[in-house]
Amino acid sequence: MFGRRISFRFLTLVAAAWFAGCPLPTPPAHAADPGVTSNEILIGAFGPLTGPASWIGLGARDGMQLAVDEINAHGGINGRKVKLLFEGAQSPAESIAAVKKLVEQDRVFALVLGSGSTGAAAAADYLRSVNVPAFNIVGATPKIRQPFSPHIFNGVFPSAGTIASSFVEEALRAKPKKAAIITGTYELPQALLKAVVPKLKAAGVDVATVQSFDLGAKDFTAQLVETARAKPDVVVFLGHYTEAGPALRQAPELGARQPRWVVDISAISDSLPEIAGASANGVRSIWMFPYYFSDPAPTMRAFEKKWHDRFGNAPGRPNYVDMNGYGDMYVMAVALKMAGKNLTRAELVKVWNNDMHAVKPSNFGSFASDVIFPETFTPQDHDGNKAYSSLEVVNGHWKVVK
Amino acid sequence: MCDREIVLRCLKTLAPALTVAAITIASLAANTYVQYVVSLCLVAAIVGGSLVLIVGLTRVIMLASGAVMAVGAYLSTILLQQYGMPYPASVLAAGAAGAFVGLIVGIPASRFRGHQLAMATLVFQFVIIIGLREWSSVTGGAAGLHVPPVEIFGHRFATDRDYLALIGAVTALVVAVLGVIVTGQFGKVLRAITATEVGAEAFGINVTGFRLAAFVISSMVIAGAGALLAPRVRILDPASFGFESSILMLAYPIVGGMGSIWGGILGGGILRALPELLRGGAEYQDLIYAALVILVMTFFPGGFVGALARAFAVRPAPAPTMRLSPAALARPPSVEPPPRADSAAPALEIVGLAANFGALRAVDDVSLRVDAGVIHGLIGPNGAGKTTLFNIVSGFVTPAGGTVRLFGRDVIGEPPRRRLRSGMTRTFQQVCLFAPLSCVDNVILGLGRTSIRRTLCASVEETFGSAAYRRRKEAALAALDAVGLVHRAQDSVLSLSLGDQRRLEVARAIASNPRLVLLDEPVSGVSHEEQAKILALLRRINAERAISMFVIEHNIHFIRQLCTRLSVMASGRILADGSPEIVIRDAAVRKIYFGESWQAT
Amino acid sequence: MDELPQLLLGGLKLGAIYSLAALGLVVIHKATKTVNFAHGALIMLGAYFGFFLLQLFGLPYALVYVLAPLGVGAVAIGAERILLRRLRRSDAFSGVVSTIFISVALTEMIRIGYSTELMSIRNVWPGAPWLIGNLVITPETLWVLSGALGCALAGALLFSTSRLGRAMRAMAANMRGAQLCGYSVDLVYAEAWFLGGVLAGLAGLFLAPAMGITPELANITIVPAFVAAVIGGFDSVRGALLGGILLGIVEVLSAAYLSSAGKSALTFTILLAVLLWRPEGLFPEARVRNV
Repeated sequence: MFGRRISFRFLTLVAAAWFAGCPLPTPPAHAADPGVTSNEILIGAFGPLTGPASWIGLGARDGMQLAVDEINAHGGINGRKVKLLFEGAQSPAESIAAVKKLVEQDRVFALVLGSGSTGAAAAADYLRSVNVPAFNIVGATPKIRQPFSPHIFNGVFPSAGTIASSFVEEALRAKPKKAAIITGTYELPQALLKAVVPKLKAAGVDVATVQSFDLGAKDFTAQLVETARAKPDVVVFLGHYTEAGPALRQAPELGARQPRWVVDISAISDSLPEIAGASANGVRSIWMFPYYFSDPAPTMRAFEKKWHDRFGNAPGRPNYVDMNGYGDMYVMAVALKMAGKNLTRAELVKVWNNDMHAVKPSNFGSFASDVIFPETFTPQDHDGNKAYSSLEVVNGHWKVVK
Repeated sequence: MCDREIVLRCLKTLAPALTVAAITIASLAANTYVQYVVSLCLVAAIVGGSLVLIVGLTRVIMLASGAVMAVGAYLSTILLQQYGMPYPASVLAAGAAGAFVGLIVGIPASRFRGHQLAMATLVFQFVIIIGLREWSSVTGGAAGLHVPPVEIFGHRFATDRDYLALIGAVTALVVAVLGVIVTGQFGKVLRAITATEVGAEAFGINVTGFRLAAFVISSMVIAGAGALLAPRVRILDPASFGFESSILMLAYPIVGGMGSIWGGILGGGILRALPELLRGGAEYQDLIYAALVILVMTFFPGGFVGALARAFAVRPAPAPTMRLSPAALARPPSVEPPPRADSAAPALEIVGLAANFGALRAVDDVSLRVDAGVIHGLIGPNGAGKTTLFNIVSGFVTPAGGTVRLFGRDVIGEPPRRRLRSGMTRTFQQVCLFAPLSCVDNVILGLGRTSIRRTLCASVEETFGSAAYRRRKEAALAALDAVGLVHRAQDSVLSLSLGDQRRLEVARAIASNPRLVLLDEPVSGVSHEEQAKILALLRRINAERAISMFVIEHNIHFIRQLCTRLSVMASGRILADGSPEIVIRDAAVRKIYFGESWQAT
Repeated sequence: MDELPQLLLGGLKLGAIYSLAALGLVVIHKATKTVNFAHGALIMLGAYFGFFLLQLFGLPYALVYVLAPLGVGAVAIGAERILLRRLRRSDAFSGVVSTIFISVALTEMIRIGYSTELMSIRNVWPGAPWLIGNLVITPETLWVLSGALGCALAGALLFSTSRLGRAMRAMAANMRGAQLCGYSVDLVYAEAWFLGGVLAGLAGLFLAPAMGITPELANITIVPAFVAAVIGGFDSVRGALLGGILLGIVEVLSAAYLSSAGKSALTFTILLAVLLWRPEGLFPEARVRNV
């Protein structure tokens, strides 16, 4: 290759290309907090836009953008428009890079974590060390919540522990004596499993078997046969709808559909009854929102219309992260508004800790759709939402049931 | 060799490391986002450089790099947290673990090639990641492991700039070492093995050992890179080191350029920065990445480095005049003291040799003697078993029975690579040169003394132009001069005509001052004038250097002029043996060649 | 132990699909000496094409089972002509590595167009399951088993006996010689990739109703296809069929009696063992001839 004389030209080219991409060091910041000018508030966010979890990042981005557009169309927050900067990020390294870029380079005022995996946990670690207010809207993993940080808040999704309690509550509704658990081996189901099993046992339920499957598994013959053998009263399925769907579809063939199935949140999707067909009917879950899609309630209708008007028709969208992003963006907007015209990070955090009680989107303006439960924050408890509704598949569609 | 050349060569080998240092220093002034990204790219450059070794030079489709990196990252973090080991020690431990994994993964490498080897590495990728995920008591399982900040000798690394300086320093060091290995003798041996394993074995190279060494070295470096990366990502989870990450890293040497260390570090650095550069089109990121790799592979073989080289038309510097000390020319410099053996013994003695391929008796009770100092010919129709005989003598085929004595020593059962030390070399029917290395590099490899340890030392010696390297080069040039190719010393073998290639094979065969050379059809496919030249060359070598020769040829005119003794082989048996004139007139021989109705002239 | 027949049935069904997938791999390798890492992506395309034709164009299933595999075959030929042909002249290494990235590119293109949404298509043979003793068999299972195995056998026969098949095997054995006999390299390669693509498309169609349609199919199916092919013998058509079935049964049984991690560990251990001690596979085609 370069077997002859060194091409110094080559070296200078490399150096030049590098410097060209290297931004100059930024001048020291103003006395005011970064991300706030007289007419704009810059909010940064990140989440996976590619890869198998892209539905999370895309939902967060689009939901938040929908809210931002609405807010700006109605005059913004205390006379300032909101600008949303959403960065794609999958792995821990990418998430940290995204957050650093947003905080150090783009100088955003506050951050929203629109990623649910270890990526967000890695970024949260960095965020604890810088004083940027952050709002975690989708991640349930405990690594984001522990250790507690005064300027990190959690939105629609409570901690895995709370979800597990709600989930077990739901599973206990059928008063089962024996339960079988089918769980994924990857992070989220495992976190849920750790919390669910002891709670079930404490409630006197015999956990007859725990079957596991790998991420993306499509064949559940073994797990279902073993489950059927255990003759449980309730089957708890911890996994994604891409796994729950095939599992439910296969279950009747193997005699495992008889007991009631309770699936976790990530299994909730319109695709589930589509794939599983009739065997999805009667499946239950918990839902972190007051309404499910296509609910006749005017609020939900309005939201879906807004979404489709803005983004058109995409399969499987809006998904729950869209609702999540929309609703929580409004929660943040309420806090921003309450912090007043003299907007600083310290003020925002103070308001968020002390003045946010039963906040819902319509608190910001009646034009906002209340697609999330009201959220409450205290200085010790930053988990804004703990409410849930029960969902059941009725005639091939998910419906909120009492 | 003057000092200027040594300095130039030194700079050339260390240029990648210097570039890394320059980039690091330049980035220290930038903001923390840039510093962070540059840290990531530097680690990727290390990975790219080490992948050049295993993917570029050894041509292994390495699909386990993610898992190896995970091993390094997890081990160093666990040692830091659970055992309070200082960070530098934990990085070294990670490297050692990586070397061990490389050994385990590399052991199948001795058996497999191509897609089977790729599958074997794939197995390790999955098994290691599954293991990390399942062993949750130690590794935190799927939820991951938190990485504490680094502390070295009491100094806590807190800022991105601290980390950048640390990573930059380590990267420069590692890249320097890798550069020496890749551009030096070690890299050349790997290239030789990829070009022709048979040729490599025939000239003393332990092919299995070197492939294993390539695995061990690159895995060690990749694991160390993982340990270096861990504090930057703060959370280790098995998913980020999965199969997809191995694929992404495989692209580093491919897009950068597989033949040089520059390719590895450029490919790694640029591809790792790509997600950051493509933030505008984040959804299309992975597609662009894959499309880029496909484009580069299809239209720019040789990657970025190759394309840049072509674009800047790096012309070959005029071949430096090869100054040979007159002393070197006068007598062949002996590099290797020939093994002690009975000097009256024949060069080669074959007794009752037999070899079968299934039911076919390729060699059937052959007995033959090549006396010392003699040129002994072997002719026979196609399929007679001549090349098989050569392959048995050189150790590539195990006979069913019989003995082969080289200068009185029985060599059956010894691997082919021991022949060089026993004083025997060979040429091949289909030229087995080490393309695309240069002529002089080919001949240097022919000198032997290519154990792994010696090769690594030789790489260092070559960089700094030591006396040992100079001696080797002179010996090679002398051999090239003997065959009349010294003016093509720096040219790649691919640019040589077939006749010149055959002469180069001869040069390679005589460079180590052997006592017996096996020549398999040295003038096959060669023009008439070339034949005459090669004839004169062989006779001169035989006379001047007292090298015995055993020559297979079809060209009877050539062989009867060349050799003083001739054997004829047909259907696995020796038909006749004696002086050329007598043998050629032998009736049985004529019958074999020309059929029943031949009338003796 | 009485769930064993049910498990075996599940394993057979899975194995039938694996056989079909592995067969396509082996066909391409036997004819062109290229290891097609993009095979999983082709299977995914088969599922997606099935979805398009069924849901968007409303075609009957019978037609879908003909058109979708042909579509995948066309994509395969396209990949070979446009991208891989140039690399044919260089070493096998480049060809294999580009198929890895072709797979990534295809997966991403689908993901951009359709996101990771899991889509579904209806069963080919809907209906209540039959009960034979303790064994529950749905019509769909019967269809997949018989259909996949039938297609695999047909593909194997096609490759082994037709002129097309002979040309492919000749080309693989000796390219120059085959050319001298009048076989065209370009044509044979195109045919091989086409057949491989068709087989992959069929595999995608058979597994789509049960597994759902998502871009992840590419990554999910490539590993079992490979493992099945290697265990059976990468150059053996018969090995691909038997290896696939063996793998399906091993996977289901080990998932049942060990854990899911145990299943992966066992599968890979078998793979490694086969590579180490019987690299020609467990069911190789007879190749050594004594003269």
